[in-house]
Amino acid sequence: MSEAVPIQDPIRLHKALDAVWRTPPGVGRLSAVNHTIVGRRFIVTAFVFFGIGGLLAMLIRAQLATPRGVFLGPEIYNQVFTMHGTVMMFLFAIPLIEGVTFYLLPKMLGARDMAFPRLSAYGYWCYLFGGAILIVGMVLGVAPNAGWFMYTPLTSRPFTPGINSDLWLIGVTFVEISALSAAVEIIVSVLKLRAPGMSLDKMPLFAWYMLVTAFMMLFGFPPLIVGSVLLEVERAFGLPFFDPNRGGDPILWQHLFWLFGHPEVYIIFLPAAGVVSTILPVFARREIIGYLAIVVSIVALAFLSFGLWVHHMFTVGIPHLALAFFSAASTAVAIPTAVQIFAWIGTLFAGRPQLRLPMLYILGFFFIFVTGGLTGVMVAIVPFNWQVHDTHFVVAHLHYVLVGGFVFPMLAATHYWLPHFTGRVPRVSLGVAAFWLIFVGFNLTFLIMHATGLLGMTRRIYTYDPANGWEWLNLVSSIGSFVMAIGLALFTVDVALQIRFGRRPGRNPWRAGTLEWATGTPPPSYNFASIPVVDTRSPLKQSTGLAVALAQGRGYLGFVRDGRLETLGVEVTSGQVEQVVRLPGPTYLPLVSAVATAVFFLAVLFQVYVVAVIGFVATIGTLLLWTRGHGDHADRGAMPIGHGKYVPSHGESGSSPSQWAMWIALFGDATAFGSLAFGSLYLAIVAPNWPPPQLAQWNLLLSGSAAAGLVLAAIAAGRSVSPTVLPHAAKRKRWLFVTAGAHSMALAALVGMAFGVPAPTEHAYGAAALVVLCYVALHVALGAVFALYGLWRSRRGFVSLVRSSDLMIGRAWHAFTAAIGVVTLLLLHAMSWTASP
Amino acid sequence: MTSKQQGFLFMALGFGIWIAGFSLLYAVQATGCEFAWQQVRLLGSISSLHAALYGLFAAHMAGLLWLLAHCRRKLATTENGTSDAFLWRASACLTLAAIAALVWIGMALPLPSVCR
Repeated sequence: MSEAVPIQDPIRLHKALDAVWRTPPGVGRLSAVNHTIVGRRFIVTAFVFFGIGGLLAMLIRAQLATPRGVFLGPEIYNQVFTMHGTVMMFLFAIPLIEGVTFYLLPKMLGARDMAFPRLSAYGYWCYLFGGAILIVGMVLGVAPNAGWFMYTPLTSRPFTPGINSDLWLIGVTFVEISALSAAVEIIVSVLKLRAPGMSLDKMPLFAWYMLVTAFMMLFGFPPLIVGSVLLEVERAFGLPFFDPNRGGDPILWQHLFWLFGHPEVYIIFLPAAGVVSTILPVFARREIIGYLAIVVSIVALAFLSFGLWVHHMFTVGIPHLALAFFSAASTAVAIPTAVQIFAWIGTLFAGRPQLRLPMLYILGFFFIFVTGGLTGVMVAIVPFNWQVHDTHFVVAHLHYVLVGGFVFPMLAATHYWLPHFTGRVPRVSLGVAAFWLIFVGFNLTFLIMHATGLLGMTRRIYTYDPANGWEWLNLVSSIGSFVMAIGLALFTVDVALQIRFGRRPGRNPWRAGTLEWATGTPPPSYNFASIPVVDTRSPLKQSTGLAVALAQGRGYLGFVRDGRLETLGVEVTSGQVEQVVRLPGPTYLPLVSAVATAVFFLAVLFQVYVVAVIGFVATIGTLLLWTRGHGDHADRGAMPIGHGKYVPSHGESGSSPSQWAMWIALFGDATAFGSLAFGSLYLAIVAPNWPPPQLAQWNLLLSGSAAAGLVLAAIAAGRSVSPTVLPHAAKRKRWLFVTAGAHSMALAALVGMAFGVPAPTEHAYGAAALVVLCYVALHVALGAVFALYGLWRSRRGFVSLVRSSDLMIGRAWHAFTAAIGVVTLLLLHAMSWTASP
Repeated sequence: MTSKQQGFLFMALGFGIWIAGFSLLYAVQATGCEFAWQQVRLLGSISSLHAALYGLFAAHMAGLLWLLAHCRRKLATTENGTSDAFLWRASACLTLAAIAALVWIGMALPLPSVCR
């Protein structure tokens, strides 16, 4: 049993903790995994992309300021509006959310870091490299040019033969790795890494917002990734998923894209609403009204947002009944949104509001977002939607929702938390002037756009005729956009002045109640010198001396044990302490893995597939290296955490964050598989030019072998972690060998089946069958790797009756693989049955 | 599984049933139209497609009503002001909202133009 003595002297405690938590300077900064640093990197990089996206917007408005403008030609204009949307959605909004969350969440929850710091760092590098691919493409003049939604058949090879669309598909998919990894990490961190006592009903609302948002990312992004992979496969190898002449259907792309695209709007809005719910009560100087109602409305909003995607497709020719379903769901989503707005208004009425700068932006948010919400209800109504579809009215609506619902709260957040980032508050503020320029400029630009849209001005067209009568409206819109840009420039100057010349305030300058203000400002590498006990939603309001007490080591873990980075893990709902979670320190491995991943994506982009395989194997290999030095060679038992309490390490707790992460990641994986299965069935049932000229004659011996191998692998993996087998190394290894062998058998059978697929380039039937088989085969191959990894960990002494986390993670993978494998076999036979004449 | 953990999971169950019902209604409507189920008449004027849609609606509504009753029962047995009560109250509210949302989209079901 390890012993550790609490350090009562704050300076000594700070030095001891900082020695193990800090990131090395210089080149060593590339090894940073600490959430504060990674979060800051996400935020700064996202704002750089925001600047790029903003410049592109200026180019659009310069072109449209006058009729028959010659500032940009049609090809450049196409690239500019496509990149504007792409940059703002994928490189600014989502990464900014990730950055703010990484930075704030552990501090608000009373933890010392996120659950998987290396995953955060890997996600950051993937984001940076993926974003760089898109921006370099733009600089070279080959940027995507078919709109940020990449509709087929425009983006199919015959109509966009260059590399433009490939850049989008590869670059965005690369960036989405960071979103998916962030989703898993945020969910596990919220559920497992909270301060002791912080039950779910005591969590800050921001954590609820992020928990729900992360689940939405987990279920929302896989359809887009699947769609992107299918489109890239069509473009690169000619498999006709979206070609109606060969049994494909371009509408399938719209379904997959908007299955992601509509929830995306709420994925962007909800974190911003979380910011409002955090900041507004501070300036209203009272607790927020309707905590329960807000939690309920967040969850309702998340689910409803997945039932709206077809409202982007009202004009494609859908039966009235289906239109009515989606129109009804689209109007219903306004209700949970309104619940939150009324809770905020009620809080302001019941409190004693102060009009400080962050509040100014929040009031701006109210005005703009509510306007956007009202036009949202208008476009949810089918006949109106038909009238304004693809006009500037929709452009105005989406900007009111996204700028109002995201940018304004994020600017409020910047002013609110900048003292936390920098330890400085402004001496002279340009912020009020910047706000008014942004607010007036925005409304000048986009309020008028409703009118141009209603007058018939279509989106994505680089020019218009003077006879249409839209000239002065467009000119005013363009002037407004430049006013807004000046406001944003002033905002940037204001932030820079505060960082450079601001004065140092005391702790908690806004007198907030949430825990992030209990850390030093700027925060130390370990956040809290000791971990608090929380039994209220506003811990700093209840105990004003809490920050000092924590700095003095009077909470839990007020010491350093064996030079390791430790924080506490809790039971998911009650917040009772369950385990000591040991976290990794700085390492270059996330960067190395991201470089290997970049090699894979670039090789796919340039169609050098041998190098792509090398990149893929290198990525898996370097990811496995992350586990080196992780885990214990012997059972340690319960360890002291202070105040006479003892809990086991996470590896011995039976409910480790890694196990949670695997299960949650598998939910995302299941969504990807579901999207693929949906796509295959959709083509079989709805697409034109079916049945295919030739159906697969599935060999029952191969199908049976595949099914037997998959089921055997899952059973053997289950046996390897059973209480009768786990303590015996030899038995354990035997079952793991069986698991690996069964996977090999299944893989061989699946490859055999793939050879029986009719020519996949001739009809979507063969293409769909081949892709689904490849999906399962990839899982089976990775299953074999998991089994061999478990064997290696077992052999090296990392596994025992209580230290079974590695094998439990593998077991989850094998069970999942067996499930999707069996479903795939049924699906393939069902497709043949459906497709038979 | 503790009562708290169950309460937390049930927060997602109400709208989980709603999204399943919503997706199935859309999927069955599209599939039925593709295979011309609307031309097969059952019980006089009701087409087999309409009957399938009403059946799906009723099945999901029954699931939601059971869930609401269960949440209310659990809420009645938990001490007020505890985190347990919070989770069950949230589950009950969410189930109620899911019922309202299902009724709202279900109001379109009598539309005669199922496949046009």
